[in-house]
Amino acid sequence: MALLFFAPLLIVFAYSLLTRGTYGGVVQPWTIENYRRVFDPLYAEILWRSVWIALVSTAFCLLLGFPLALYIARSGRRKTLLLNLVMLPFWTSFLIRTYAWMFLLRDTGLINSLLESLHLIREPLPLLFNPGAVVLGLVYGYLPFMVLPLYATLEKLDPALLDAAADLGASPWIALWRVVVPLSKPGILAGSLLVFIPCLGAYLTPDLMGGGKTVMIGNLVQNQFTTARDWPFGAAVSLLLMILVLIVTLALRRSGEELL
Amino acid sequence: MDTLLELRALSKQFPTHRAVDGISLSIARGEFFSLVGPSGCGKTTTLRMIAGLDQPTSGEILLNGQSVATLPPYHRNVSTVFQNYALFPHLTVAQNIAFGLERRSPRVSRSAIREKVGQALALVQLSGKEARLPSEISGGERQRVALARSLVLEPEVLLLDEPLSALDAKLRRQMRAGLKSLQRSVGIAFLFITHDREEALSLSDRMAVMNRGSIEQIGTPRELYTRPATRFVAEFLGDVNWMDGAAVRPEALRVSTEFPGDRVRSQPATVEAATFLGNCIHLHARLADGKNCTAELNRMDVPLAPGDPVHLWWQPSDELEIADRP
Repeated sequence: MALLFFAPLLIVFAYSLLTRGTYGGVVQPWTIENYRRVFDPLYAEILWRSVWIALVSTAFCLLLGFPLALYIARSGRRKTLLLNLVMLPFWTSFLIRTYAWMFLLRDTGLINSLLESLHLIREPLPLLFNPGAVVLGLVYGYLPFMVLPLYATLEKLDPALLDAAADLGASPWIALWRVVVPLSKPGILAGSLLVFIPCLGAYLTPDLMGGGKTVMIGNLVQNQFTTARDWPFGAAVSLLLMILVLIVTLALRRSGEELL
Repeated sequence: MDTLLELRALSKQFPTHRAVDGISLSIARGEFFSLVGPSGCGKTTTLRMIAGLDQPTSGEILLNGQSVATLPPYHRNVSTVFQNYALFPHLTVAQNIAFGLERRSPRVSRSAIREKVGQALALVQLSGKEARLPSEISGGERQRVALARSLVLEPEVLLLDEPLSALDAKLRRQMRAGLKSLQRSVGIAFLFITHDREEALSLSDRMAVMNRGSIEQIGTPRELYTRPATRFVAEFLGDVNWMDGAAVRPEALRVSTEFPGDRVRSQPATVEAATFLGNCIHLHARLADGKNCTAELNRMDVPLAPGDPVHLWWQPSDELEIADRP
């Protein structure tokens, strides 16, 4: 088991220290040049954009997912049905769902056509091929990963606590902020990790929804192993991504333990 | 009576059953009032309606003469101590107690809050535990925090939903006395819900017995025990022996080996067992009509064995006048 996990990692690590071959592949000499290149300002911009998009996507997932999870947790007999509905998109391929969004958002797509035919706009709105579309695609794809852990935590909340809060003078809004949210921190943390990490390494969504113009780390790595044929560099970048994710995870876990 | 809280024909209809069926009662200022009955009789639903956590289907709830039935719970000057205390697990003892004070408007200053929290803790004898979390204190201590959390808001009425039932028997008895003296010292009206007749009898100034959504009788513990209006009240508050149509409490029965005369009522019986309980003796006997009865005797002058014929006698004034008989 450990072998299955560590062996590929070791291979990638080895690659990152080698030099690219002319037609791809890796050759000697051993070098740390790849790691030096990673810190080039060009790539720093890509890294920063990836972190930013992942953060924004996570934030939107939280904003949308929390009310949804809360609603489901309080929906009594319809809980199972609603949960299944949340999971339903996973029955379809992610690629197909992404294409569906492109169909909706592009210049000649459903939304623009509808607005134009109602004479609400004269020119099509640029809804696709920008960072906003990337965020939309990521939020859509990863929302269930936020909803499910949140639901699990919220479902366990003792309803007597809400009775007590109301009894002591808290309006429903105050009860939400002072009781529900603090007690759902484990779910918020888990959901945030489950969304942030995949978003950070996303490459399909930025490629399709961003039209290739929004380059994230995932796209960079994919590029190195295909068109650019620079495997060592790609290996170095992907290892860097992994270290970044590790740091974020540990930091969130530690602060989560303090909060709990 | 200086009426503080009044319920008028209060009802709660659920889709499946009528939990509370037109009950009316009044609670006086500073009174310790118990609402007692078996599980499912509607007492908790009644409490929740007074607290504002459930809406009545019909009827009125008047606090100081003003209708509060339409007010949300956070606008009513009543406070509830829940059965499992419902302490906020993420807040310390002090923060739990301060929770209601922080919601007050106009805003209460932080120093004033700290002072009130300190006073409340001293009242329930928990000073020094401010920084503890609910998970770090015992069940009895949690109960006292719940009390302090509600009392610090100085409500007009304190509602207590079976506050002692989550405690073990010994602790329960200890807390009982503490609760009574607490109520006396703060002078706030307590509405105490319980299924335990001993608690209700020992703590209340007045009490009401509830059964299947209705109130069977209201009065002082002594009144309800010695002059129960219905068979349910009689049997709920104590044991009842049916001596040929007369209802007599075990402690009112006496034993004699000879016929005791015509000045008292009596029934012949056969001894089944005499159980020595230390401070009293339970004499189990069978009457002529086959019914069993129990007498509670302080002592037995003549030793009795199973099978012995005896006369069980009682004063006619000790008979319970109950309308419905078996």
